[in-house]
Amino acid sequence: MIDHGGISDQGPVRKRNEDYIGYGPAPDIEPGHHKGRLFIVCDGVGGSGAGDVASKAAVETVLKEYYALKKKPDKALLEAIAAANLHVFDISMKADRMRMETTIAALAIVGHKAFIANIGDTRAYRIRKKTQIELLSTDHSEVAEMVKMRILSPDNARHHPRRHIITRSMGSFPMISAAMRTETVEAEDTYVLCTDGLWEPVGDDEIAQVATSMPPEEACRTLIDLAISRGTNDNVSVQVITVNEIDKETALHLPVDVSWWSKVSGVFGGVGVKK
Amino acid sequence: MQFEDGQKLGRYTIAHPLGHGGMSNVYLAHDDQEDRSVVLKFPHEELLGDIASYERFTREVKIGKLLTHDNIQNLYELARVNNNEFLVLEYIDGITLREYLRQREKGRSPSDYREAVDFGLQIAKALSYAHENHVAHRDLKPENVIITPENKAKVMDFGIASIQGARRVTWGPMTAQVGTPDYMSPEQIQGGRGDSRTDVYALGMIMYEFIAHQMPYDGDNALAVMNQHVTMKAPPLHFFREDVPAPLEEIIMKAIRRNPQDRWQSMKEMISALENWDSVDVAALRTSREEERGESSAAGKLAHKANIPITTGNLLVFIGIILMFLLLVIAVQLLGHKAH
Repeated sequence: MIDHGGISDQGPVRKRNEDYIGYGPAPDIEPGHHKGRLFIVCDGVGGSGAGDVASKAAVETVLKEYYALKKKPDKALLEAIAAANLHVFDISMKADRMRMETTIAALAIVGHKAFIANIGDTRAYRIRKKTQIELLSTDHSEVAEMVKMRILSPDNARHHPRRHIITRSMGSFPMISAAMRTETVEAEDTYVLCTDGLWEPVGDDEIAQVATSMPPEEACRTLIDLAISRGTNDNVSVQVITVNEIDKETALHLPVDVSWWSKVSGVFGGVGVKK
Repeated sequence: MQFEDGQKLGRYTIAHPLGHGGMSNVYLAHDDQEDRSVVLKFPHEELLGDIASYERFTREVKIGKLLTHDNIQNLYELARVNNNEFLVLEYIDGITLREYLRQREKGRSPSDYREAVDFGLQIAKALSYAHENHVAHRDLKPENVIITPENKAKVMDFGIASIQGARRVTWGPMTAQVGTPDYMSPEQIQGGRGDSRTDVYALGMIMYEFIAHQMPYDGDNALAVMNQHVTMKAPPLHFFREDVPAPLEEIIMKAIRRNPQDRWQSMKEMISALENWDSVDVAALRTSREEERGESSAAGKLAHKANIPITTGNLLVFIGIILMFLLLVIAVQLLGHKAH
């Protein structure tokens, strides 16, 4: 029902791969947990090359905590990220002069709901109807803030000299707040999680085109090759997730959503809903 | 890539490391062939991995090699030994202007604007020479200027500014690598590449800081500072130093105007103003400043108008108003029906 592929590539220049990707549930997690599938991409930042430790620790902790917590998916995801943040902060503090931080983009698909959480500038996209690509994550970077403040245009942000400065990361403080978003999943939706190694050299429309025109694993390889051919000097990591069919079994266990319209019309006793 | 003291790299013998920055590792070395001290700079490989930026780097190194000026750190060559590519630069005995300013603060000696003019002119001459050779610095700041014991100012890092900023850093409390945007011009902040007038702006900022003992824009973080560069007007220098002569103040304030067209249009213009600062026509400079003030306040108003944030609160109020209107229409219609 859900096809997915993921590749983390060191890239042609860096001496180590500081990205890390992961997905769940692990085979030993019992079925019927109603937490659906979880996909994670992390991009580590380390002072003396410990970024890979941070990204790996973050992915593993979030996966473990998310499926262990007896909470609704959105709460579980946020708490898992908080726990992973504290864990990375902890190893960073304990390791002598090995400061380390990481970004994260996580996507949980539970029935007809998608929960997207992120910290830093690792991104989550959704491609609907093969063409409509939408950024679901929120970049925590200086240039993103400058675009919000309207002192920089989105076009100029891509090449700005300060584009690599991120304003929020896991492992820098004991407490962290992740950007969180809930979306409704439709059949044929494609989701792409990727690090800046991909989205900087490769445009959104190209990502949409590649991700929807071939099987996920092949799409990942093609996207990474494209980024490398453009001369990226970063690690490149990407996960492509295609929803072929909604998982009705899990969807049944989700709480019924109360839409804003039924709330509003409820207040007015149904006035104006039907003629 | 680490080198031992005494290690030989072709004709160069490493003496000791001078520092490891976010961008490169720097060593003091001895050039056995020319028998002189040199500085070796090894850029981080990931900075040069990107083909486009590598090409730009080698091109700018070529240009940098052409620049020989008394106030510019000499770039001797781009050497390659055993697959290590590094820059060979003139060794200058001295401290950075940043360190110079810091020591001055400690000593509590009153700042002398004449000293600011002296250093400012030296830096301006170096930049003017570079501009004539079609090279803009684009990253001028006190960290890039060395002051020798003879009070000579030498500008460093010409042409290699383009490879900065490629390394990823965070705002976390543990990374100290994030550079300040204090000397960045508004056009650079807005994503432009910048030209010679960008250097005019940076030099104006350095002279402002030299005299005022502080920057015109101050904020809790880089974003606040950059926002001020783009949207605010610098407080006049006499706000901080009452003894600064009006003509000199106007010359510096003209260098740091927001719009490049309102600044000194070339380093040459700025040099001739600085050389004769006591005979500069203050009134003429002031009127052009008044014009700018009118323009900028209008721009400010526009920006303010466009800046109504779309928050959930605003949205709810808006929806509320529409709903009330709809209810009113329905009520009126229902009443109308009853009347019939």
